[in-house]
Amino acid sequence: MRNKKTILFIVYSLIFYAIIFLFHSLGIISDYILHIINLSLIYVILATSLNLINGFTGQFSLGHMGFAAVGAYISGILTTLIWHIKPGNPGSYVLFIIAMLVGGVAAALVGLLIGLPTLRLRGDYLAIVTLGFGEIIRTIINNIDYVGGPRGLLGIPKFSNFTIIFITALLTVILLRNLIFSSHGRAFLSIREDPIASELVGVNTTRQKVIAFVIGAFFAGIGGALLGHLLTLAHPTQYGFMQTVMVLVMVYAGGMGSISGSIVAAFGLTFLSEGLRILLGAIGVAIEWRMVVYAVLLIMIMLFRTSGIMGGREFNFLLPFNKEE
Amino acid sequence: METILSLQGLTHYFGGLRAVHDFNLELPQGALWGLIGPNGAGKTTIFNLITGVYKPTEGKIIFNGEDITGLKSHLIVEKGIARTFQNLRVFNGLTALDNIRIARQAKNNISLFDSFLYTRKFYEEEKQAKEEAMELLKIFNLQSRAYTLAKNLPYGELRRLEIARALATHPKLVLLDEPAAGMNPREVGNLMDLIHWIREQFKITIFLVEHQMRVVMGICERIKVLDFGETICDGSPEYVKCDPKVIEAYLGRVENA
Repeated sequence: MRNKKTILFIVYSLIFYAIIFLFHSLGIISDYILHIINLSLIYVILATSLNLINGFTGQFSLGHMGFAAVGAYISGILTTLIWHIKPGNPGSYVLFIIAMLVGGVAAALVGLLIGLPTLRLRGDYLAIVTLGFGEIIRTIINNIDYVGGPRGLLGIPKFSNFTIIFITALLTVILLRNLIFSSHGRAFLSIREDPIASELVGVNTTRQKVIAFVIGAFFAGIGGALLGHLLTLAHPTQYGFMQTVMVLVMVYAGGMGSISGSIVAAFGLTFLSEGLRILLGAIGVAIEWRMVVYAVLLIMIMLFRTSGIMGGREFNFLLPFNKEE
Repeated sequence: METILSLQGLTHYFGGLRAVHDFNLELPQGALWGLIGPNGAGKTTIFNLITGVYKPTEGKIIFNGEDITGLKSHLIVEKGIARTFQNLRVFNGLTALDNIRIARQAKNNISLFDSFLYTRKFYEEEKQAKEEAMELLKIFNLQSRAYTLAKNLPYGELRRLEIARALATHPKLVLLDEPAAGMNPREVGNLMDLIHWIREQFKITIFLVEHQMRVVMGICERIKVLDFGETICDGSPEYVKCDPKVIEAYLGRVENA
């Protein structure tokens, strides 16, 4: 490791991890709160990877939860239906991590299949195709009896604990950040800024767009795998269009082209969502009204803070280099 | 002298509209030639054809003895043709330094693996890319702006940044599309010196489109005049200036009653 700032960032993160872990074992943080933190961390993975596609590369993908579904079901099939493993000895965790990676790779392959033809085109074609893809995935899952069809894939072993989710989220953030602050990342940004000029200074824009899209899909698959093994089930309705909108709201609320923003928004909106569940329940309003609050929130952000909470900037501790280094 | 760019019978239609018709050019290595013509004559279309933004309906583009007709734009850049744009196309949301560094992309052999893990190779490449970019910025007197976002730069500096970005691709031929647009007379004078200077310094060939006669007449060795997609005149600045067809295209015909 030659990067002092990265080491510092990892140290900060481990302190955060230790505090949460300690508070949980002391009973200050309940299982319920820890579950919400776990969910938030999974949303960090989903939101940062979608931000890579939508925020940094400027492509408009609407099928992120479709990739998450691929990851959740493929890894779920491996652990639940083929290997029949249960959390316990270290070997089972190794198998789970393999299953998670296979889920991510499967999602990436599907991403490649969709990205190659559509990313050649400019404009909104990707949005239309990925919107369709999300629905197709859901319909396919609904009709495969092997994975439970509309009942969902039940009895997935609970491999996703705080430690595994935390390490995966941390790795995702660091890897995506490294990619963004590299020559590839600059190419992504140039495509967002002006695709024609980008091509005319020698960037193979189609290739770079496919790279961003496939990597985004991979991490969505990883996120999906973690989600399935946290909730111990995978259900078609968890991966619908509304869930993709949730992640989109996180990306836009946090700020397009800001990893820090996606992290803040993933935590903020997950806690808000759970808070509203309690609040709305207490005053006797149907919890479906949460979505209305979400919509209003999105409109407010679009009106008053167009570029999101972070406005395309990053926290200093997340940057790999000092600004003028 | 050896020909670097040869356009043979280049013709382009937009639907039924003939934008360029049978355009021929034999551009010698190291030359500084100009292309002029009234608005809508097809000058920028020719640039777009050379750089692969459009595919020509008919005709051939030979660069350095190699047929590049219909090649993708980024491959044409890799072969050694760079350009600037009539209406600036810098990357507004990025710093001046990053604007230049992006143009090095094709020469960069950093893999995804290196980028993800920040390997030793990554640091070496980044260092070199930055030094090279800083050097270019210095040449264009932009080094103090390296970390300024392009959208915060004044117009004249943006023009220079765009030319610097074109040079960062290590071109053999640079196409300048109205480099003096929107400049005041003093800036135009500096620009003319700069264009001369980069040609000598970087040993490149320059082909430019320009509206300001002062620039074209002042620096171009030879000029082609285009009107409605047809070449109407071709020769030295002195010759072009006096050609009745050129005067007619720009000013109209004198009716004899």
